[in-house]
Amino acid sequence: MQDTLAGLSFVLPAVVVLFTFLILPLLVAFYFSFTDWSGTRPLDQPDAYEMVGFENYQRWIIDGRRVDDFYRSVRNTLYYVAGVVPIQTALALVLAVIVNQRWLKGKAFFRTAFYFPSITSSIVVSFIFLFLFSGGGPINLLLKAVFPSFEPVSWTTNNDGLVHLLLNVFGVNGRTVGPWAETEILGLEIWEWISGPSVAMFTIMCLAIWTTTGTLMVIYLSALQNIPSSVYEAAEVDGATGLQAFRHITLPLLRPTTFFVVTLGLIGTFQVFDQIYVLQNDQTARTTTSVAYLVYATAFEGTSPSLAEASAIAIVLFIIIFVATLIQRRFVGGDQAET
Amino acid sequence: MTTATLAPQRTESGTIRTLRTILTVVALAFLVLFAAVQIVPFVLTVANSFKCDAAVENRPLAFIPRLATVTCRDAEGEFISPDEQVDGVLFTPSIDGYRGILNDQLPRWALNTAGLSLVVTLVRLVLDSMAGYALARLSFPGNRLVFFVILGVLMIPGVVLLIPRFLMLKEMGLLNTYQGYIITLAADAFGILLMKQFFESIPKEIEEAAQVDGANRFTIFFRIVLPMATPALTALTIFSFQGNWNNFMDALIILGGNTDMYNLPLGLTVLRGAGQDIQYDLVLAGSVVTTIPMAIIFFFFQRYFVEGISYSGLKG
Amino acid sequence: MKVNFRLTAMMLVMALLLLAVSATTAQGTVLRVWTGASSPVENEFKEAQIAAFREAYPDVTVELLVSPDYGTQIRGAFASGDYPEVFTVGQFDFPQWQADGLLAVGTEAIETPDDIYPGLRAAFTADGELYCAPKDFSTLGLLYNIDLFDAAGLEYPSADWTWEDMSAAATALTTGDVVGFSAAADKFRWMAFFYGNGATLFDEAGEVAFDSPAGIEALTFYQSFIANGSGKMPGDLDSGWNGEAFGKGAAAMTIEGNWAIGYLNDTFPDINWGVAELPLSPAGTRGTLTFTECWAVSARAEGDLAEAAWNMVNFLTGTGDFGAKGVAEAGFGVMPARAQFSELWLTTVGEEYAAYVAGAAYAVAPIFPLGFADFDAAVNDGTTLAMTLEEDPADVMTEAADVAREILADMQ
Repeated sequence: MQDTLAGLSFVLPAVVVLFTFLILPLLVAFYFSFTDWSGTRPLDQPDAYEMVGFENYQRWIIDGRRVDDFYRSVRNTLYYVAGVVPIQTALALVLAVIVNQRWLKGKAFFRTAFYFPSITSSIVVSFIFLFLFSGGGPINLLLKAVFPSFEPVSWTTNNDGLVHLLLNVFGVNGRTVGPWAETEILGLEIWEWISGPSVAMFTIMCLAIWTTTGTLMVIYLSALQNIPSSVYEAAEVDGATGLQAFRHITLPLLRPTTFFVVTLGLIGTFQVFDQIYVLQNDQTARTTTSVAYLVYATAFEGTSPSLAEASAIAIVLFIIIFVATLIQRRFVGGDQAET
Repeated sequence: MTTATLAPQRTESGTIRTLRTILTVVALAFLVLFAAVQIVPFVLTVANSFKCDAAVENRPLAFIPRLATVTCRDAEGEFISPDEQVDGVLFTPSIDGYRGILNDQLPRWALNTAGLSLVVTLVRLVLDSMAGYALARLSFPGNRLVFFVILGVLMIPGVVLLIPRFLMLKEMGLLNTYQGYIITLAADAFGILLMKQFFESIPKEIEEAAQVDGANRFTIFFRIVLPMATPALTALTIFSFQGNWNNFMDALIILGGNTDMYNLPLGLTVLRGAGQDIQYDLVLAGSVVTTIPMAIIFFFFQRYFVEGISYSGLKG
Repeated sequence: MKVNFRLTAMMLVMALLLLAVSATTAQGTVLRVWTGASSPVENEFKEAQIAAFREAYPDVTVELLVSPDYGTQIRGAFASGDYPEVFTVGQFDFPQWQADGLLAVGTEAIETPDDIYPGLRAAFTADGELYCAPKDFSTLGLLYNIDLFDAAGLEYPSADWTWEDMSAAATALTTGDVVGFSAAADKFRWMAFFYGNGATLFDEAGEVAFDSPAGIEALTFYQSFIANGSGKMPGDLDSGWNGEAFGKGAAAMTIEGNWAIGYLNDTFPDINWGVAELPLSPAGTRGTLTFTECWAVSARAEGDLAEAAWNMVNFLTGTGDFGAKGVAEAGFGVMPARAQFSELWLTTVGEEYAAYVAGAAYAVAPIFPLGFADFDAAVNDGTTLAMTLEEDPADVMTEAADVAREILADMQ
């Protein structure tokens, strides 16, 4: 009983804020997704908009003219998520554990260093990435030095899918793969669905991992403080090596945090926009446009922007993320942890 | 590691010890290399902010300043060549970029940014940790629902909410007011979930002991739980402060109508301009002005991540 | 933690005190004037214009807002119905904003509209009415690197240059690290050849003519540089856009607008370059694209307010010292929208940019009509596919035209 009162009064202020400034606007956007509102016509005009039912959804996700654009952006986003989330999580964990070691000198320096990408100007970051990955840039030179047979890759403009490239090594390509791959599912051929991220998208993914790892490391760092040092001391007495302690003590105790980091990573990467906006170019639009970018472009770009259509795409993205999160909770062990 | 005295049963052979040393060296090398990869772009940001537009785009990698200064236009008003400023890794610094963003309103914008970031962060520390604690520990009707709603809030692509939010804030008379900004951002889903997962990982026994002693939930939370949450509060402080320090979109929607209320991201965007012809010297000078305080704040707060807190001392 | 709570309370009180700064209610006519932030020199120019207006019309209070993100901010204001009296409109936004009833008709109010270049007037005309006054504009020109041309022993592009001459020059200029032509996969570059070859989006009967032979010929020509190796897209030249690739000397020619002047002179002061009109098509005609922005008056401004608003628009765009003449004298790249000041502009910036002015006579604003967003998207997509050599130019144009035909059929 006391818990009920305390619980409600503890969550109420935050819930009121979130409800008013995020959920209500979401409901408004949801409503607009069933209209033909341009987003600029004043709402106090009697002819501001008309209800159009599911027309916007139909146009973008069922069988309208933009279905293939939508599903292509879904494919691009899925590959982005699948690539970025595991790597950034693992890297953040390793970094946090390392800078938390007692024997490490200059912890403050390393912690700050690893956090720097999160605060460095995105413009400079994209400059440097474009330089690193340019035709005659260090990445190509390095690869050439290690593998003499390596041909320089145009990292930022290549639209070839990584899976396609891999299959090509085994002689499988669009012409030899067989008719099954031409079957169209949701606006795209199976062959297009299984492309893997394009080389250009892969480059953007590297940048994303580099910039977000620092933030996730901070979350892991704060969680590591919760593991009493006595646990490690006991393990040490038992003769456990550092690696064993990491596997059998640190990792299980960090489970809730890992779960949290993965959930947030999933939600965040599904909405990837900034990195795409900064690094995309005309040539790679087809393989790097994410769903969130499509939402933005539909709402604000071109001669006939439509906030209503953008809202419809955004609602569908919301549903995709929700389902993905539910799947992750079910299958990636939400049994112990809640978040 | 002083294992020899603590655990005499563990005798390491010479090879293992050598292996261990090699491993440590490799790990350290990796660490230093990785740190360099993380820091170099920032060093280059600072270096480039002291270059003229032409040198930023043509010679971005020079990073060692000479002991002299140069202006970006010569006596006839023509821009100087990048080669006049840069020679290999050496460059002659110019403060034209910083002069370009210097403006009567800059101090005001800096004050707005600092004040708003501070207030929002403090309010969030309270509201987020309260909500996070309730979700983690208190069983009340609707706990699960509230949790899912908060999780759901994170899944909304923000672009489509901009105009609905603007319209609502206008109705509520909160546009172009500081309180509008503070109230709108007083709680955030990320912060609540961060606190929730942290509280979940704290052993329950401590609170239970206090409950036996007859303390109520409020006392337990403010007196016992919150002090233990320093690492998570530190993380939240860093994230929230940084988020608001760089907050462009919320500030635009809420404060965009009154230039006196602008924060640095808004003000600097106006000053450095937009369009195809980007003035990189201004952009970078602005970026340094906003980044350095964040770096200092992070450096200051990261010391609260102290390894291995002991709970036993807090029990009484 | 206790300290923090005290601090919180203190900060809240401080914040509330700050709020006490209340807006003073202005007397008489108050004009709200909104525009987006552009380059620092242009921002300064706009502020000088407004300051001059304040002096000329002391009874009018002007509240100027230079927005850091104009598109988002003005959309919010439009949606709420409470938007500024005077504001800027980009050519691509015009059809939608006009259809949304946001703009007052300016046919009567705009000062001597006949002086304004016809291509620019057309961009802001709907249903026979001129809605707003162009403030300045840019056209596309053919940029060429003088040193690279000299090195190859080639004549500079001249007034009688044809598409074939350009192709031949591009091939001759392609050596080692340099390609002849930097060709962005952007419809707003190749469509200069599209209009130059006499093609149009729709024919006189209103039918879709996008995939006419003349149209297909234009994209095929533009794509041929990539196909035969005498050109590359800027991304493949390690550049973000044409201007950068050209400035770095990675391409000997490219097509860019007036904004390239300031960019190249600031960022690549060492390169020696010139600008020519785009070459003549096989039909013997020439075309270019124009990009412009206008000052508009709110459809909701009435009476004195409307009069003051039009006074301001005419002050900013008319024949007075701070209108088109001011643009010409400021000389920050964009050109004055009125033909009578183009000579003055050339005097300010230099005769070597005359090709940009020459283009104004026949330039087209490449605006896709309202309701054709899917067509627009199909052309973007098709341009990319053609330029990456994934599909044939003729096929992508037919596909895009079919989208337009479908939309047209739906509308009827």
